[in-house]
Amino acid sequence: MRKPIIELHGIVKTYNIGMENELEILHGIDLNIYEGELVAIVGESGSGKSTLMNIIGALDHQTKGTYHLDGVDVNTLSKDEMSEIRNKKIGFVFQNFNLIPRMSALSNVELPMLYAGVPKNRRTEKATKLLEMVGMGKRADHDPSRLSGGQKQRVAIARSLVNDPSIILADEPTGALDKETSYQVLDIFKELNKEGKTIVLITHSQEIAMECQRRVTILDGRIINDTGSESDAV
Amino acid sequence: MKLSENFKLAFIALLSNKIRTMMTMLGIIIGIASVICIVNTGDAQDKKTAKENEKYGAGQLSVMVQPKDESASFDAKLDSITLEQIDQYKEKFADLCQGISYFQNVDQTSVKKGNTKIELSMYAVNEDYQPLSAYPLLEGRNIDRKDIEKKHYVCLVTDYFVKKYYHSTNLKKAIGKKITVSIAQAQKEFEIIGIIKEDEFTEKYNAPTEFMFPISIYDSIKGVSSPIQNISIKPKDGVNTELFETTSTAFWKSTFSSSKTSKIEAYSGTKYSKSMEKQAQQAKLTMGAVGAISLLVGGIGVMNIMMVSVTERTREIGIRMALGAKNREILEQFIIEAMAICLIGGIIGIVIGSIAGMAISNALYEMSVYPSIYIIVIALGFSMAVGVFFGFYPAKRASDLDPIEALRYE
Ligand SMILES: Nc1ncnc2c1ncn2[C@@H]1O[C@H](COP(=O)(O)OP(=O)(O)OP(=O)(O)O)[C@@H](O)[C@H]1O
Ligand SMILES: [Mg+2]
Repeated sequence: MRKPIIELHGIVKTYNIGMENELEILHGIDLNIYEGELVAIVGESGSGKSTLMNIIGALDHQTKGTYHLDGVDVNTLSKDEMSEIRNKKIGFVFQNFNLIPRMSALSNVELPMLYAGVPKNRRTEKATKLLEMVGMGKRADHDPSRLSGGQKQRVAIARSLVNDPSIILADEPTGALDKETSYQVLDIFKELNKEGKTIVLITHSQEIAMECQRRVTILDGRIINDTGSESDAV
Repeated sequence: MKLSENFKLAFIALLSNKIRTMMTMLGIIIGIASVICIVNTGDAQDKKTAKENEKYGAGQLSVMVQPKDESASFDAKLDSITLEQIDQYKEKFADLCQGISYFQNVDQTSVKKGNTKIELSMYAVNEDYQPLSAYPLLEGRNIDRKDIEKKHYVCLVTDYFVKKYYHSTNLKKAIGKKITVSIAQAQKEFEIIGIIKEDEFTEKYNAPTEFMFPISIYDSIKGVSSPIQNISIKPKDGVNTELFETTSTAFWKSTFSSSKTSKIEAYSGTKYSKSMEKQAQQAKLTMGAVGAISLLVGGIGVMNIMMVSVTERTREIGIRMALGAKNREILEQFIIEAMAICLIGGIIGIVIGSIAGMAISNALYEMSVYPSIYIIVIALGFSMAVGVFFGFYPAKRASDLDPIEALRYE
């Protein structure tokens, strides 16, 4: 049996702890994701998908429960170690792209490599290659302000891939895109999955979700349905 | 991440908001420019003072005979320094003393040739006078001991005199020429034996030009030997001036210790220039403080803008953190941005300050000096330090942001 690469146990996330407006968003999430899986997380708006994603992505800490990433308890890591994990192990594609304005698409894609200490010429080479792969080779020198939503999303995907992460977390990567473009983006993820990357994909679209091997449904901070992984079934 | 890379990022960030960057730099520019300008003007003044000191004999010890009793009447008869005493001193202080000069100020006179009338400032001098003065000998020879003992009618005139009197720039030709001047109503003929260099101011202000002749001649014309009551002693180059001054003063005081009417006062140019130097130093310090305050204000301006910049770029900071930037790297990025602002401001300030300083010293002292490498390095170092100091707090704020909060920032 494969070992889970992401291992969530009893995850609770509470905002504004100790204050009047204290709010528990995740109420004990148990979820194992295995290497090489393509998982869709679906759920209503506000159900806590992005919150969960931030915890998986080592951007945020859970309030209760344990999270093991590749067998390491993330709670025991220092800030710098968390940065390292975000930089090397995880590729983030954010719900709202999160490209840095007034910086070319190329520079945006190079950024994670900059923090990984990759020399300039290697950075440019790799970023250019990835931009070409997502079909943005001709727009490498464009500012985000001069790109369409779908184009920004592709730049964001290219950026998530530059440090060869083993996990890609994509929050609504097709949310702002028309059907055709959505499928193009989905195809990129499928291709990456075939290459062996673990991909967690948050989506509202049932059609997109149906294309994934495994679907996890969240409602009000709880997992209400999980089509299960092959590994779990054994 | 490499430092050069960080600097490049900083420049890109600063270039993306040129107007604001310029405005922020203004305080630093003014601060650095004023300090550089002040120091440069001060240096020019120092150089000017040093030049004047050299000319007017700073470093020489002035020994004067004064009445012992302060309340004594002005024309009280005072003792004189004798030639024997001077020789004694010279022998005893052969290692320290370069020479002793003394002179009598004779009335001004003038000589005429055709339509040109030349005003002369007459000096009856001893043999050491010219060598110890700031007027270099251009041609011929100096008045020597023999001229004085034998009362030779010889004189030194200036190149300016030669030009005006003989309408010639050939100084050699003037040597040996005879010239008649009136001293104490007597017409006397002198032979020109040497040409000295005229002061640049004489021609400019049409001042009288120097004419020097042996002091013994003056004595014989007037019929009395002129008392030596004021001598200048010049130390050899490189001797300890303090030692030279104290031992020389002690010598002359003890020489006159048995006199009933007179005593010796000794003044040194170094003492005088030291107090001047102190004054100048204080003026510099005050002005420097003014510059420092403008730098402080400039620094606070930088801090203010950096705070705004950090707030504006909260989201960007969040993105960078999410992509793997460590806190230290964010801290560095913003400190380097502040440093870059201050460094560019500092460079502009140095250029403006140097130009202004040189223009001002040209106007005030008719001379200017280039700013020293030393002060430029200090100014650059200081502006970077201002950047680091005032950039630190905003940068710390940036690096302490929580990535999730920062990403959520609208
Ligand atoms: N910092 C916070 N403080 C308080 N409440 C928060 C905070 N962050 C998120 N929430 C709340 O947590 C809930 C879940 O938010 P989350 O962004 O995870 O939803 P989501 O499932 O991703 O929704 P969507 O599909 O619209 O993106 C929301 O009700 C939101 O208001
Ligand atoms: Mg969301």
